[in-house]
Amino acid sequence: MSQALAYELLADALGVSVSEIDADTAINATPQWDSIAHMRLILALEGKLDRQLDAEEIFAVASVQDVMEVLAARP
Amino acid sequence: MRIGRKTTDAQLNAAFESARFRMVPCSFADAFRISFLWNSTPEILRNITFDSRPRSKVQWYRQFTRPDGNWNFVHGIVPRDGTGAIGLHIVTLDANGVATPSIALHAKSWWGKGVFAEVRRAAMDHFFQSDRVNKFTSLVSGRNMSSIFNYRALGLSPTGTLRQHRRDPADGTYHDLIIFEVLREDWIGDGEARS
Repeated sequence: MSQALAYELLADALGVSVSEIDADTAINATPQWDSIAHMRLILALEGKLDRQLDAEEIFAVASVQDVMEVLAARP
Repeated sequence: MRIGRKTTDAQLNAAFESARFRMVPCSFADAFRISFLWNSTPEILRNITFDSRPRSKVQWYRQFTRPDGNWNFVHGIVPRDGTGAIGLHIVTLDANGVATPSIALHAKSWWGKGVFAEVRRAAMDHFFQSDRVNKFTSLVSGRNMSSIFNYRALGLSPTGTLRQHRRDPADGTYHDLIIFEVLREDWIGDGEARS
């Protein structure tokens, strides 16, 4: 569930199709992952979690794995 | 653009370049004219001043950094294929060799196009050439997601967090500030932090 949702959120934020997201999608390896995409991703995550991410979390989200971990930790 | 007063540090106040941009020293008049454009963009005001309320020209005149070519450096960011500045890069230097940078683009068409990282990398290369500059340090709002992204892209890691350190008078909310720092000795010539 978290993986499917993570792929979906990332695809929306990066402006690509879900099929273009894979386990290697990461901040330093994906050209579409720019500052605007990062902001869209964080806001989407906050919408799903219904809380604001703190500064460390915003910095730490840098890969599809990180997105899955943030989603998995939600109450 | 022109240098508005006699400079005391020609090296630091000189123009510098990146692949797509020339950073040109600004007079106070140019800096004021360009920066006042930020007044219509709450996101920029919040990120630069931690206060998103618009200011009058008089308030901005009193508040905005005055370039003096010695401690306060304001460079216009001018695309190589254009004539007008799309934003400003500002560095305030103290007697301890600590440089505090800020950057803002009023030209929204350039947002999300890697300007920050490119210009900041060029600025660090430029300023670290001087023995007067030992460290860059920046306090970034925890809600300034684009700057957090950009510092990561530059290879910097946060060295601390000041919790609920700024209150935005516009909505009364408190914001964490993240401390990003890079020492001269940790900055490699090609613009990447070692750790």
